[in-house]
Amino acid sequence: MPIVREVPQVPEPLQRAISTGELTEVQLRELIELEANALSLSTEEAIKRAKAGTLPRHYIADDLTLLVDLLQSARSA
Amino acid sequence: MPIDGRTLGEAARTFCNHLNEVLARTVTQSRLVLLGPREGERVQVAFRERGGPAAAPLRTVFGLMGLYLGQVCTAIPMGAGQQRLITVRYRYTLTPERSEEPLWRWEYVREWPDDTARWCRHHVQGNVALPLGPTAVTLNDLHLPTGYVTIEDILRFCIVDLGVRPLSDNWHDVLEESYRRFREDFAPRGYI
Repeated sequence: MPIVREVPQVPEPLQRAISTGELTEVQLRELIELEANALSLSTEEAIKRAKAGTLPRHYIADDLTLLVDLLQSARSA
Repeated sequence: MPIDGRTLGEAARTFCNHLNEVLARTVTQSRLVLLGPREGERVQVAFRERGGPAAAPLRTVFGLMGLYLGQVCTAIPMGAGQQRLITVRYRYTLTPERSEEPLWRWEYVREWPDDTARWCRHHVQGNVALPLGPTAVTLNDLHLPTGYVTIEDILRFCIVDLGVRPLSDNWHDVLEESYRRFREDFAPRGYI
């Protein structure tokens, strides 16, 4: 469906990793970076804003917020 | 049968596959994808297309809308080497065509994000104007309390209130059975 923001294009190798259901922390950060860029944000800014709940209201931001949650859990594991 | 598994990944895959079956018999062929960091303690279940986040297009009586469903889950040990899935956070949104901002956002977090947050952890927000006395507010200004909102609740809302044409004649039974399974098996009392 038409949306204002462009959905990030995920490179083939990362798509293949996603299809397995399991990402390395580097791959997870790569996906976060793609979604952050789609929101015109840097990775660090997006992570900071996801934690603060101040990302733009958009489903890409919702997805990004959930991925940041995963990143935090990966670091604490 | 509880949604358990020997590992978080196994239990989450059961959950994800179950939801995809429910979606395919109710409102959309779009598929939820399971994703988690290697050796992580949490996983995400959300709509994805070619790896990227996706909103399932739904034809409603009010026009085309995009449905986003996303959850983060973890597992709690149940003994005998089994893990049971619980939801840590969810976000469900419905966005009208050509709108950037969702009209409704149902959100839940199991724990407040910091020591200062005191809003309702289960709430709905949205780009909806509210006549509230002399002050102009929108639903985005409030954390309007909800109970725990299941994905089945959202799918029912899409069919009954938004007029999405169901993908099977027995959609009501599919949702009821899935809801029963969620209440009795997936979410042990006290964990949602």
